[in-house]
Amino acid sequence: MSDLVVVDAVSKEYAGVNAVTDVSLTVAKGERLAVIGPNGAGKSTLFGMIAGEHRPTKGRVWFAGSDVTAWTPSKRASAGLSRTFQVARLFTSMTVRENVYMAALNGPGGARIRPWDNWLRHKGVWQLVDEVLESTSLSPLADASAASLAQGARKTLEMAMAVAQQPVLLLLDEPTAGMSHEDALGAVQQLKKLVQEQSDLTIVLTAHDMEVVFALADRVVLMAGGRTVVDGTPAEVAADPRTREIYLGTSAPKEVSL
Amino acid sequence: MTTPVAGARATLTSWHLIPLFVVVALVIPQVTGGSYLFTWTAVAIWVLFAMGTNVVFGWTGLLSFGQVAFFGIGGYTVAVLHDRLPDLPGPVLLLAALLLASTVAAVFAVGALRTSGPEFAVLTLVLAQVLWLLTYRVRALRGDEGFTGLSGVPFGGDRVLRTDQELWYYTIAVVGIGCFALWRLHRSTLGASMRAVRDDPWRAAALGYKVRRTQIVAFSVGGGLSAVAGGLMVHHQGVASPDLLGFAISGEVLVACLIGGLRIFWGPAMGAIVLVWSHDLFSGTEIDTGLFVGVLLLLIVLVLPTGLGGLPAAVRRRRRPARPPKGLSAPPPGVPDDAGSLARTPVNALDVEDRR
Repeated sequence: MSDLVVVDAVSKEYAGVNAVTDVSLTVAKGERLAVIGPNGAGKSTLFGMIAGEHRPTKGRVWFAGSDVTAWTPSKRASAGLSRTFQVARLFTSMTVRENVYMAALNGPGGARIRPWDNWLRHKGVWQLVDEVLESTSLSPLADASAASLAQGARKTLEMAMAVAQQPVLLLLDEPTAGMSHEDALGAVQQLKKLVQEQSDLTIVLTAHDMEVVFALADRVVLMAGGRTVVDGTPAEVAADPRTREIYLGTSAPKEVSL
Repeated sequence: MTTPVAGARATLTSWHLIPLFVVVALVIPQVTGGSYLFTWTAVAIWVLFAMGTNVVFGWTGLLSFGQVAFFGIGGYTVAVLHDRLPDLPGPVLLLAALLLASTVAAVFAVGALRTSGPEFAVLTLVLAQVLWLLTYRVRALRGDEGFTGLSGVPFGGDRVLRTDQELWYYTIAVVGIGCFALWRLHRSTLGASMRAVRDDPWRAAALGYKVRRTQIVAFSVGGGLSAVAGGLMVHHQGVASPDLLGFAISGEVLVACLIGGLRIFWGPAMGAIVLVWSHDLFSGTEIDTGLFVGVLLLLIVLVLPTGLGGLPAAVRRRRRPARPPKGLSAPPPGVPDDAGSLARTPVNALDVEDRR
């Protein structure tokens, strides 16, 4: 097993505040890693540094054997990194199908971006789009405008776009945030299915919801105060006394029912 | 369900529009004449100007207050070249204008797109004002006087296009080629990525699209076509003076885009027709054109946010209210689901690549 992501002693400082301090982390190919922790633990910052949104103040980030520390999000995406956002980001002037198309177009099965060739002509890409819509149960909404989707469907569409990118690394930023309980269950089912279908896909996710973590992750990293505190299997992390301490020490969010 | 037709919807065009265009081009000089044909020629030029500007404004979501800069570059390129080399055929003059302006636009955008939103808009305004000043400072551009008596378009050999009719055919042919190129661009993968970048630059970057490069290309295309329009305008008026770079023109072309509809391919063309004709009809009357256009724009923003080009779709929707498919929350009433109002246009496109 080789390491797909290597986070090497990264720190991130915002105007004198240390959001992340000296964090090192490796994610093996095919691993499903959940990063958890109370608010302000540095999860999102760490996540942003892997995705390319933030550049670390110190340390390096490696992805698939390349030092990607200075790479833009776009370049990382072309190298096989795909992500979702806490609040789904979609192309609102386009239909559901067109959104997925835009994701597939730049993926490995896509086409060059050119000023002259008709975007409707890429039959292979549209076929992939239809398959993805089918597998994510979005087919009935395929021709609806992305702007008209309800919250749950927006997140599902973002997932579909991530799948259509055919990534090697999938970053899920709070995949069930802002969803109703029902939608969240549905999303977890969907993700589970994805995990089973694509066993070599590496996933890094942040989550508040422990149900999501236990359903998807085979490894959990607990962060607090910008550092990693516990690293192990979900059961190990749940059993660790430091986990209890960190969550009880803060406002003890109710979703952590340990 | 393999053939997605949704993308074609945005363009509402097909090859059938080409014969229609040719018919219009041939009929207009037959049914009108004299000063009307002269105005129609100006309309055609403004159609190209507005359509080109909309690549930047409507397609890519970049607000440029200095689009006249490229209009002016085009005009002066044609004037200077024509003055020095009177035998150079018209199409060559326009090609030179296109190349120069799209290069200037690209170079400018590489620098200016390090900012975004209002800062970018102000930089474009500065560019236009600097060029306007240069027309006074650079002796070769002849200051206030400018270039006059540039009548006639040399067209290879001894042939010179002089009459209103000849100039109409020449103009409409160039505008037609420009619109055809734009139509192809709109439905290309590049055109689709421009819309993606406009809708959500963060999402586009996360999918691997090069946000800034796409914006630069769009700005360059918009600048190039504006320059062709400017060049045609110099032939039309026979004059190239600093008025060509008047900063109100930048505003008017944006108004044309807004009146017609930013998100509809032919919208800016419709806006340009309305704008130029209202100038023509109201000049010399009691009605103030600016006031008329202002009220019209206000009405459109409030009542028909998709612009005049969105009128057919709005009427259709009124007649047969769309029923949302199951599992879909209904769009708020009156909000068409395929096009954004001015308020929803993300003109403050974030520069994802340079944010860090």
